[in-house]
Amino acid sequence: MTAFSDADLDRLADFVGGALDGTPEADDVRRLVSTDEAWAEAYAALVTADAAVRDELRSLGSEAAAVPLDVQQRLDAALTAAITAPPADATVVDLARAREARKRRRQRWVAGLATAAAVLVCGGVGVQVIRQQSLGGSDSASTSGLAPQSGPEATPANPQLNGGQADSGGTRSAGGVSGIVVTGRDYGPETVGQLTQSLAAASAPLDAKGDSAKGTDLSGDVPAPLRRLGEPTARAACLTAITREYGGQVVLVDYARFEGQPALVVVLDGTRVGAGKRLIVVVGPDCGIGNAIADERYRGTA
Amino acid sequence: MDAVDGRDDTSLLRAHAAGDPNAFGEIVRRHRDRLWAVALRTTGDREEAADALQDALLSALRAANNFRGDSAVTTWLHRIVVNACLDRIRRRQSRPTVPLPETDVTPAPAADRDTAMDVRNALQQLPAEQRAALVLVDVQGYAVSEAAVILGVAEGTIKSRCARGRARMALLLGHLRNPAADPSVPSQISRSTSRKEGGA
Repeated sequence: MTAFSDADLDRLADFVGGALDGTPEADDVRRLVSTDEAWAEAYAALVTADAAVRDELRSLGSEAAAVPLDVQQRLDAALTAAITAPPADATVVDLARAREARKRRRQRWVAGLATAAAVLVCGGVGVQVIRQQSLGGSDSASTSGLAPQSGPEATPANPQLNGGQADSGGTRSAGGVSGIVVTGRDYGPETVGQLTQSLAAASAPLDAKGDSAKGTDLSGDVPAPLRRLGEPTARAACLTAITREYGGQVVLVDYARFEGQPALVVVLDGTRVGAGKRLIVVVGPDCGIGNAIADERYRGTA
Repeated sequence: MDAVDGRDDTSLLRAHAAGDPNAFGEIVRRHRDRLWAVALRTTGDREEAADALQDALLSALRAANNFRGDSAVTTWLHRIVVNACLDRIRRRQSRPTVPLPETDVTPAPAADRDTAMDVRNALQQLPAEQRAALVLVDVQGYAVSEAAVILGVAEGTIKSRCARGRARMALLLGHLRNPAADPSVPSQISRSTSRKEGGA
């Protein structure tokens, strides 16, 4: 016998490696090795080769394999983000206090709007308003974040989650969403990254604050093409599809536009592809259909 | 100089579950090099290894409350990392149009570089389950019983996967090839072309 089949080789390897110890098959192989010259030769060769491969693998193990610095930094960033993010089952809500906060914000908003309108009317300037809404504990009520598009607070770099109020911007859903805003802004590949710049400051107060965005129905508050994604179930399916694909945790969702088209801008931390940076995924109205992202328009890190 | 945390791994994991923000990081700091080595050698690709390790550590961080202490924390972490690697390998195999990326870039001493590279390449040609067993037992030096816990299979299965994996590596590395290639000379063992998973 000069050639071994795969099955013979596996059988002999199992015998040499002790996997057959104590089984009747071990006796069969032992008999073949002692009576068949080819098996005897193969056995001797395999024992020697097995030892050689063990040595080579052991040598491989003795090579230094410290985590490279870039990987270490990436892991540190992902773990830090995950540790500092509120737990998925965070229970935070003092509903009475949240209602009071909403009421106060609404009053501030009305006062602010009146002032702004007076200033603009006095200046003879047309008013164009972007609706900016933070939902963590504010339901569909407008907030003090309402600001003119051209104003400094309304730039993409400074979406002012919840107008900077720490007590209401934080939202958290089963999908791990920290904040949801409806800015209606029109982002592009060059500007969408700016959304994350203010997030570092804005996300800290979001921790464990506000009620869950999971159950917040926004279908009446968002542009018609995004109405489906305003529903909690559809939104959750979309965000779950995104995190399933890229890992990480959603920290911000913005009902906005991208290159002129209605879009959901999703910012994630700790993804598999972000290399330690935040990942921005822009999706269209069909996101989540069939439990897939389905309608991705843009993806980048910032 | 880094502060040294005197708590054992289990205490640290419990502290993390109780809200200590630094405890999990200390566990990772202690074990990350070994976990990285396992991930790198199991996936054979630096980026896949980084992704798998990140996935695994985030899973472990979130699942810390479920750790029951049936095994050592390091064993538990290794299991999560190896499973993350195997998941990635399977997903990669299910996307045949995506070319396999470059293999690992761990430096080796110059004199051994060719041999080490040959060994790494041969290792990467094994079925993933055989490779994972060999990485744990022969490369990383885990006992068969510990590898069995990490991979969630019987010890006999680990022995079989290792033995069959070594035999195939021996063929790939030429240890079992007849250099004379003379048909009149009986070969030690001829090379097989197909592969099967080891399992006992």
